[in-house]
Amino acid sequence: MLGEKFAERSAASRAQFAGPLGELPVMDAQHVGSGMPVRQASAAPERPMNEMFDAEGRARPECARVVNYLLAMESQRLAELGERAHRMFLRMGVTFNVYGNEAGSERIFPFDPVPRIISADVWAELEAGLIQRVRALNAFLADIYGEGEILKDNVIPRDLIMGSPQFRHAAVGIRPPHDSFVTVAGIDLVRAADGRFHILEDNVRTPSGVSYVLENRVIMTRIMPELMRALKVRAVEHYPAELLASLRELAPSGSSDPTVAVLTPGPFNSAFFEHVFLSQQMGVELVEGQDLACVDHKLFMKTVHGLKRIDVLYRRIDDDFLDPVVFRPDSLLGVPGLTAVLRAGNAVAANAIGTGIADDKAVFAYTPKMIKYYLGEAPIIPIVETYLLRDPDVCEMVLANLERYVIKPTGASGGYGVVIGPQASERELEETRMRVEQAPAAFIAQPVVQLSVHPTLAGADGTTLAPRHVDLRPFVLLGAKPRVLPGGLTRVALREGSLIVNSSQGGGSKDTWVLEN
Amino acid sequence: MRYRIIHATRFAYEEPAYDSQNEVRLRPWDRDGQRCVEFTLSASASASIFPFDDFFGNHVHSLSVSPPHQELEIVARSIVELATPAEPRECGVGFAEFLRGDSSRGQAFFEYLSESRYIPFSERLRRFFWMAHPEEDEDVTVYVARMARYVRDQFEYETSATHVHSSLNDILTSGGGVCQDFAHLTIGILRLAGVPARYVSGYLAPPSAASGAADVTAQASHAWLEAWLPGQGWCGFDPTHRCATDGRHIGIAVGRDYADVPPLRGVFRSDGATSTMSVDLSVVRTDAEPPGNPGAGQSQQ
Repeated sequence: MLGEKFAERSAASRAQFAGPLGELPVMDAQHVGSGMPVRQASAAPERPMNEMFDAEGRARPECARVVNYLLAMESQRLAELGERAHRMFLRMGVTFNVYGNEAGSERIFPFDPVPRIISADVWAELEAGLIQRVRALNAFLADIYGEGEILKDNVIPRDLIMGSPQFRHAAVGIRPPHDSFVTVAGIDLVRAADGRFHILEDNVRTPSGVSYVLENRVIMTRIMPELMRALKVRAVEHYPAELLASLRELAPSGSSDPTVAVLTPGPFNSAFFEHVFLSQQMGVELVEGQDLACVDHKLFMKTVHGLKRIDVLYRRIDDDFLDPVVFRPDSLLGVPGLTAVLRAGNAVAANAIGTGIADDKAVFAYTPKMIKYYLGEAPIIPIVETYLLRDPDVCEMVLANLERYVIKPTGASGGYGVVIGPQASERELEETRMRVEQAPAAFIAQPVVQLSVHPTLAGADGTTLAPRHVDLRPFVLLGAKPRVLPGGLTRVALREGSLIVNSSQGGGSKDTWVLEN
Repeated sequence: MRYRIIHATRFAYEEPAYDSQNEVRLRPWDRDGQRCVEFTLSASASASIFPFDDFFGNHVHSLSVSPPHQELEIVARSIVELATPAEPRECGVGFAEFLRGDSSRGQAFFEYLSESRYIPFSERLRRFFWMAHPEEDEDVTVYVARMARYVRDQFEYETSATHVHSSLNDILTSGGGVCQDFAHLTIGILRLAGVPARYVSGYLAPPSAASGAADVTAQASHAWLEAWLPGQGWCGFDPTHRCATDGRHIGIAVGRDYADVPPLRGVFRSDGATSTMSVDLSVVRTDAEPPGNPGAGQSQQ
């Protein structure tokens, strides 16, 4: 059995592989039937799925070559790879900012050189499921900012939409070309104990992270070139070209050679590096609000040669700050008059205004119904079960077993405000209970998903491989046609036992290798 | 009745302004016996104007002026024909029965039954509501009309007590306010009672050929509310004048509260810190009156 051999071999070279059957605190995961949450947690807590080894400790077929490669490597060499990767990131200046952290806000996103492998078959199904999902979310947005049929048909309660701060009244009636609301989506997937991928949440406002996918690949191409060649890993380098193509397809009709620009809030934004990176890779201008002007209900960029017309704006500024005429009047980051320009159809913003209602965590519970409603299809990828605490009966059940659930505020993103019941202290649970009781509709509950684990460099000297929890954020582009980046960002919770993979909360990342057939 | 309305808003800037971007809600609506037969919007500087309808069904104009300008005058001219609406009749539905349909109204009229920026469901408002809640068998129309009088009975008309960004807590504290405050407060009570209610911005025509200047509450720019009554739909009530709306109420826009319907909202760039705004408004009845009567003067702002 390869897994055992791997463990032995590693032990012999002092690289301790805690292994598929290694020490990992197993949490109280549970299966929950549809409808109401059950009172009893399942008797036998589940073991997380290991992405590289099956339950018998054999390497999964698609991972065999990587396992052999790692087996053949001295543990010291493994640690060197990690260090080399770290130095490369420093040299390339790949950083992100952490909010609420005064000292040294620029950080390196920790990188783990052990790649995550996805077989061609698994990916084919995921890809189909992702396209299906983003199409449905897009159709939902076109509907609720248009006729609102899904509300009239009572498929989604109207008050859930109208009561969400993410619903933008100012976006009603704006109809972008091709009804394209979601141009860029980052969909967070987790692999449960049963090995199935589930949707954890959608990100269709200004999803970030794709620059790490591309940078991670650059690093891996340098440190494991022969392995990548041998495995036939699908390329990701063309993402900026695909993004640019998708954006150009959105241009208002009549512009044969549309001009695209990337709008950033500036260097203090957590994803500023990515804004710079993508604009450079696409070969388009990176602008701030003050560089743009709306004249005669058209959008222009101020240049030394005068005004230059912009057709498509890839905006990485939140709705609230985008246009002080319509949203926060104190915002200095945005472009006054932009909403009217979009409404007049003289420019397009990607993503459109108001997309946040589609990734609202309460609306999430209705996404399977959306897929049926708009596409007439059964969802290909299931969602993690989600309970709306606005329902008093559901709320009571969840509060009675708070320590078994993940509680999330409906409005926030980036892992902020999430409480994981089994890991929370008594005091945290009590505080959460009070907040939920005060405003039940502002929270959802999900069962704790036993995220899959993946061998990851660990230990103080980086010579140990140990299982760490991972998730996956693939990126989907929806221009005139859908395009999916093979793989996506694999985030890894570097702290042992931690389930929080967000970069702002101490997570790292891995390169994701989707294999060709 | 036929009215001619000229609504001029003038901005003067300390230093030249440029890149002025505005949303204008000044076109009277076409519904419920009111017809806007003519409307023009113009600006003193060269402006780009784009019309659209907003979420609430209001006619809005996006107006932008890019080149530097020392002053800007925006003039809306309307001719409106208006039939005197029928007085809302009793609906024959008492509150106990009315509230049985609460959950479906809670969906259909969610935005008009919930709190909003200027109408927070504060402790103060709740206490005020407790003194004015409906009787179990009280007819819904009777209650709404009673509230439109009740609010005004409790508070003075006082222009200095509140300002354009006052929420209903301000009027509850100060004991006085203007039409906007009376409308917000009455809407708050009706929403707590379960009656969908929305804010209306519009004009109030002067009562007769007389200038109307003696009556401070008869200013031409006005605000009132609409309540949704079973079997009758949206009906106008004017708490400032303790009555249902009549042939003098010319409606422009509806929304959850004032924040959704300001006549003019916008931003501009300038090196100077200050700008001054003045409004010149005339509402003249043209079918029965001799021409040339200027009507009542200033807007409430």
